[in-house]
Amino acid sequence: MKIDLLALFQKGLLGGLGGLLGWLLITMFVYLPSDTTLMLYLRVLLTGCLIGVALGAACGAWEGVFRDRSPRRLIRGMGIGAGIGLAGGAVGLVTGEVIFSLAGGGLFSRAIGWSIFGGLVGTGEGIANRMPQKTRYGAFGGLLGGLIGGSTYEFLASALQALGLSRDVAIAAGGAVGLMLLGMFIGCLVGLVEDLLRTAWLQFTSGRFEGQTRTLDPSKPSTSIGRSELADICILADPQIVLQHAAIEPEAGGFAIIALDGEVQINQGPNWIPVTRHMLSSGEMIQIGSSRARYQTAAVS
Amino acid sequence: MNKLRISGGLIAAALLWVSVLSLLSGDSEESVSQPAGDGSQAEITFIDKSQFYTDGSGEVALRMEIIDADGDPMLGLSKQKVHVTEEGIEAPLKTLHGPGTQPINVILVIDVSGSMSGAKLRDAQDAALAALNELQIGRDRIGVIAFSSGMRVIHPLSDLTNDSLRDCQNQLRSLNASGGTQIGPPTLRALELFGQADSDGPKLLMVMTDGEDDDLAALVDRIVTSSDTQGVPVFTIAFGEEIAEAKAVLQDLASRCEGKYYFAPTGDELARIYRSQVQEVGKSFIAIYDSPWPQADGLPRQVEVTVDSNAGELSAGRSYHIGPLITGGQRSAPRLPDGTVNTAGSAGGTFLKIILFLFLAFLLAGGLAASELSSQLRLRLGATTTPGSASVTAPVNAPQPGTATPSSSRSVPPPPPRPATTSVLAGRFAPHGTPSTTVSPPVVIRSPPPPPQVPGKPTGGIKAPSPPKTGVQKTGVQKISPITPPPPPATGGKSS
Repeated sequence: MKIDLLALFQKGLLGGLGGLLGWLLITMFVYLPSDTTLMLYLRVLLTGCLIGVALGAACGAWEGVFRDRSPRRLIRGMGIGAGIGLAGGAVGLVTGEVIFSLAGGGLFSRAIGWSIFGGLVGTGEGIANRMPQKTRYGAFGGLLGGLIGGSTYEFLASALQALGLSRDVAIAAGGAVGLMLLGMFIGCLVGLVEDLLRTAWLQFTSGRFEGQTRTLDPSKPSTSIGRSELADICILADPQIVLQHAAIEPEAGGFAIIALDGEVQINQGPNWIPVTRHMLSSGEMIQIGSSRARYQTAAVS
Repeated sequence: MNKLRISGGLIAAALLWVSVLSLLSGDSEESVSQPAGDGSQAEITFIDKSQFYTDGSGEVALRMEIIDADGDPMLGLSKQKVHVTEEGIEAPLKTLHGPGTQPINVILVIDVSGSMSGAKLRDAQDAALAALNELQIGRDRIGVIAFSSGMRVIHPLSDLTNDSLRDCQNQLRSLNASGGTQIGPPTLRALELFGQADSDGPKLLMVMTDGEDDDLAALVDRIVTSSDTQGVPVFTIAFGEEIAEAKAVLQDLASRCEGKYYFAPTGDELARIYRSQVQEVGKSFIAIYDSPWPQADGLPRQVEVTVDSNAGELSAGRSYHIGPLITGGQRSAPRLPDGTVNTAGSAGGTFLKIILFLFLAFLLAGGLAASELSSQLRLRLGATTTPGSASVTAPVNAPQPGTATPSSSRSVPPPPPRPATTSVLAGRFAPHGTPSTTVSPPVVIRSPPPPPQVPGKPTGGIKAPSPPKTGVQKTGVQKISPITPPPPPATGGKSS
């Protein structure tokens, strides 16, 4: 397996920023009373929406900022992430609240409640990229992030109070740090789970994306490569890459690369051979425009 | 590494984290009490939060046992002698009800399933009648529900008078046993009756069964929620024999509803349990106060009670939760004993929150900037590296078909014809030209082409020649675009 540590680091920090922003939003805007069950759940719904939007937008920003370096992809990623985060946050936090209430509170039940919230918010990146496997990884990563963040929130608030801080500040600090941790773990674990569990990926060895990896999802019918911002693997600022340059499709338990409007070359021994359709084998080098990438599978790497 | 093992490892790590924090937090709703030297002691037996949201008051009622050396309720206590603090902030008592000053509200839920027929039913009837005798006519309230496969409210929760007592006794004596065992619905119904009655005073729900209900586990959560909302502890009693599976569910239900589980092997024991519970509730003190934090913030609140008794200071503690998973922007400054709100602390708290936010945001943004810087440095360092020596020196131009090439290249027999290019993206990314199924031209061998080299004829390709899109000719001398980036470092044609 290949773990992209830098990407994990970036995703974690972005998720943390998202969580922190979510905390700021709920601190500023959520002032509904909780004197009835309806009002309580309305407040929880609003809280979940705000945190979900912030977390989803932050996690969705990673592609545009660090990976593809495209303002349009950034806006698209943030927009889709925010939308999915809104829905996931609302449903997740309300569901979590039900479980928390039934259990009568407590650190463990809070962790479970947050994990449901985190699991739903974590699906954003996978849904945005239309990758079912990434969606599952995201849900799993978000679930773990919620478990850790939720338990840390309560522990920290109580610990800070015990250290002498007022309840007001302890709750605020616990909330800020807890949500930041929730976001960090969602961002980081979504990436980590993906890196650990993916079965195939491209690792760029030269060109604009040198060092980066792109996961290939066997449950996705086709992964497009090109200069188009709609492409799944979008390679900008390379004049040798056309809008719809190539595609990688699952085939016979592996992946095949198909040249579309552009040219794809495969390294075979000392030679580079252009192909139109080629079944990839693990470790094989491919060239697309000025970028080279190695096709890797989990079994061999 | 196996996917399952990785996933399992991650889950185990997360659960370990949660467990460690749970242990470290030491948060427990168990009651703790510090007795005096002569055996007097105070204990918080139940925290009723059912009125917390009423008018935003944050009202909490503590049910306490304050007993003297003889085990009797301590006499002579007044509001001034009982002090309550919540999270260290003193909460003045609104009311202190002594034993017997408030009506006791009791509902008995009695199993009359087929297995209770005969002597068991008679014992249960006698035990219930004994419980009625502990109640005070004109003060207390009683309700009785009998159940088997269905349920019947044989006496709704109402004031105990001579007439209602007689009626209740007659109803109990006329019970018959038949049918199955459905414990959940009558328990929920009993909690509803408490809510409808809306009476003051301590509440007691005792559920007695001799059997097993497979559906009870599914209703436990609802019962727990209702119990918490109504402020009613639930006591469960297994009568006659103790079935392991049923015991587990009954114990879980009782503990989560802040009650107790009992096993009564005989009718005498059942009667003793009924009487002692009613007496215990009757001996309770009820201390009502408004929480210093009337906003439900979901975090644990430690309540401490100290009693100035003749034997010295008695203390007791217990914690409770009220509120959601995560708090929003409600101002949670404490309400001080004189009724004012600590606004000064609130302003300082706001300032700290702002500082905290800025600090954390700066930390995260700094980390992101550092990661981007390191990424850029890595790219730049990689771009300044000169290409290594190429191990392949094959000519750029394609050899003629059938012609042996110089030593550094080799000919490869033409591959078999390949099918037409198909792709699920055909509709969206349709290739130009018409696919051909003819045998491919000879293989073209070349060295690793640094861009913008243009290869010769493709091998095995069915793709028809497409019009050049990048301005580079397909054959012959390559044209290098002025904006072409430098070639990537040669990799020596190594096989991956």
